[in-house]
Amino acid sequence: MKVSVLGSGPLTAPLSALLAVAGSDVRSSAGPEDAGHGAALDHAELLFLTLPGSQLAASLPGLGLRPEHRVVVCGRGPDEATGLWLSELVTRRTPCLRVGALAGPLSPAEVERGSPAAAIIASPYQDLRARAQAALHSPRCRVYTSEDLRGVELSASAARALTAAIGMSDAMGMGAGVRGLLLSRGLAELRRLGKALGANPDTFVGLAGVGEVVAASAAAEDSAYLAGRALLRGEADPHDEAIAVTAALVKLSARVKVDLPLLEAVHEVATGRHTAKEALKGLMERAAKLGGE
Amino acid sequence: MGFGLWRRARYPRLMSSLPAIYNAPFAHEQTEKLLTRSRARRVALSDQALSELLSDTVYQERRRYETDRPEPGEAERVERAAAAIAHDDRAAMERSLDELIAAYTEEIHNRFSPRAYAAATRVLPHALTRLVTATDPLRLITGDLDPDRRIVVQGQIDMVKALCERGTVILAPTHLSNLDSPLIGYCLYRAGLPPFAYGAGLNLFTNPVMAFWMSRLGAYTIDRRKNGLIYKETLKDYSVELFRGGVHSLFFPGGTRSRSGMVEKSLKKGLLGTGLQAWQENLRDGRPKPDVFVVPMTLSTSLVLEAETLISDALAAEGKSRYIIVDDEFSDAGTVFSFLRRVLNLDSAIYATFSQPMDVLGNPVNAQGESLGPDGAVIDRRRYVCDASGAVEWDEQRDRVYTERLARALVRAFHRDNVALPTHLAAMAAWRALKRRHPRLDTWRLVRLGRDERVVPKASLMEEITALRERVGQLAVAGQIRAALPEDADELLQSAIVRFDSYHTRRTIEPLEQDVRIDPELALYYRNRLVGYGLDGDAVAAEVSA
Repeated sequence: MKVSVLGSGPLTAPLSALLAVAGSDVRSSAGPEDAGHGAALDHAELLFLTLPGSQLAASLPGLGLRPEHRVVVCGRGPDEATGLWLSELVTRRTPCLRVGALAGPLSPAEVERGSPAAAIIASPYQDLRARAQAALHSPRCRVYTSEDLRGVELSASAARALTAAIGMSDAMGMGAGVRGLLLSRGLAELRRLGKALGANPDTFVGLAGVGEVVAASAAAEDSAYLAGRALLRGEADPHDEAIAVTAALVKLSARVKVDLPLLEAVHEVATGRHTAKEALKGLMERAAKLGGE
Repeated sequence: MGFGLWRRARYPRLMSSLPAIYNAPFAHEQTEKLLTRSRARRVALSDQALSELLSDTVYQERRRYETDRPEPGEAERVERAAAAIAHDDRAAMERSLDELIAAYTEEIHNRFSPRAYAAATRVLPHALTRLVTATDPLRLITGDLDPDRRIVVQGQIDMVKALCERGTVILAPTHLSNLDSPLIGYCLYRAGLPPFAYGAGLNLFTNPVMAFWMSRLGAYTIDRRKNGLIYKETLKDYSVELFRGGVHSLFFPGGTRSRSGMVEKSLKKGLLGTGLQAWQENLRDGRPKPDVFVVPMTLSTSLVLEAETLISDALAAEGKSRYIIVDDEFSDAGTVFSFLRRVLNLDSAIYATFSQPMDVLGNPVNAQGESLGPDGAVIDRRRYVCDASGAVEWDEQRDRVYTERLARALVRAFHRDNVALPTHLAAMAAWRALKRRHPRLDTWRLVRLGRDERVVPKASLMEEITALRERVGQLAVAGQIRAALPEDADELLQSAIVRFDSYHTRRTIEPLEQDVRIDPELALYYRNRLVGYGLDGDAVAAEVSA
């Protein structure tokens, strides 16, 4: 399978490596200024965009994507300025229609160490799912597919926000019980938001949701986990992926009128409106609710 | 010019411009083409799958006969299919399938009457003009015969004309009333566009006078009571062949009239996808004019003939079971003509807007028929369906997703080119004023309010009108809707009341001394035309905010 990897995000190298392991003919381009960019566009029947979500909107118009390209986005959305999911950015800003998203616990460090990995490819286009799976699936990397593009994009983004929440809680010295609480309540929030957006709730308990949170929150070097720990020190970087997607999800939830207390708490700490302790206290003091989750 | 002379002068020229579908041999050719398509598909069907396909039709048709008397020969065909299934006889099943397809094609096609079609498309405008003048003979003397003042045809007319020369055009209008088809026929004539074939529901033929017109207006028949897969496939194949034959066609992508009065948000994808299929087949065959274009058309009318029946049906619990209404205002010829006469006496009562044309994937096109990308640059749309060598890559699943995208683009166009009229805005204001008086009541209770409970202070209504007028104005500036509204709130209300009272026997908004009395059902129906824009606490349709 002829594929190209466009961009220079943290996933570029590990993804290229896994594609090569799977036997794909891989070309890369860091961007339009790259001498091999045109060749990478002409070469591929499938393009993986590894640009971080925050850079995608600005980069897309210059990438030279064409109707024949099938595109898989690997960053995390939604785009904070427009509220669009990254796959939507591609279909709204380029002539490409056949688009999908890659998610799952693909840790760059673990891929580099040669550990087995897993990923999920979501797209409404069966042809794209099949091609992407064929390009990436190998004994090193199991690839699953889903047609629930919205659910996978939402899960993967919320996983970054939940991982940051867990990082913050760990930095505060909270125990495993709080981790369990954050994960389960976070998933409940995610289901509510997903329902409002027409996503399949089952997607959240898959690789893109639970799979990513469990993996990322156990990896000390994960960027979202580290961003969460930095929140306690009041050192939040608004451009950090986890912090940016949390802000975008909170904005999105307000638009669709869904209550996300946990993600809102993380956002409030990130924006300096509350300290981590105040945010946790606020969460714990919420009125008790009768009934299930 | 007398009608006889006119016909002699114009008819031969018009006939020569008619597409091949109006020629008698086409019916036979059409059946053969549809049989060929079906036979090609069934090669891949196992005996079991073929049996299931036929069983579906046998079941659906037998069910239909419980309420509808079958046409002569119909039931016998279905029973022959049942016998073939029972004997597990593949040859007999295939013969039955052929027989059903031939019968369905005949039924779908046989409403065409080429000579009558040519005449009717020319007569209708005159008939409408006469209707306008019938109520006011003075207009005959003053020469005030111009229906353009009543029916505003606007939008991308020149581009649609150009595209009709470059390929096949599918006109996809919103649908409120059974009068929409003849109205659109008239709009096409006024716009100087060529004839369009269209799929008309069999139920349209319940009104004897309208049936006379409908059966002569190039309609092919869609029987929505037939739910079997074979019928649906035949109808889709028929549509593909129409487009392949270069026949410009119109069909209502919403499938049926909007019961609630809302602009369509959900469209039927089956027929909509046939344009994409025809385009790809044309590419495969290297046809000289392979392209198929889609033109959304938004109809906005001050009044709707069937408003009272439609909203009652939308509100009724059994609404779904009355998918095909045969006893509404349309079935009474007197009501139809009374309505037309009254509506056509109102200035700017009807707006028909041709929206930005698009390709079969939902991309906008220019007057040259080229597809445009998000940045306005020309893109090669063939690459969505062809490989690098130019060969079509067949993929039904992909095409379904493409068609969903086209449907969303249509819904977006419908909302953006919907024209807010005084009756819509005053109705929404009235509905809001009612809600203000009864804040705890839901829709169902509001529509059942007693006579005295429907009274609201006029000041409250005027406040709502003023606020809504301003917000609609803002939406119009943002390009999310069109508006044809007086600036002044009093004038707007007066204009709406005159229009409502000109037709409806129940008064939608009845002025009292300091108050107004509101008919909740009618207010709800006309208010619904402005739903989807966030004006009344309703969610903004995703396609509108896109």
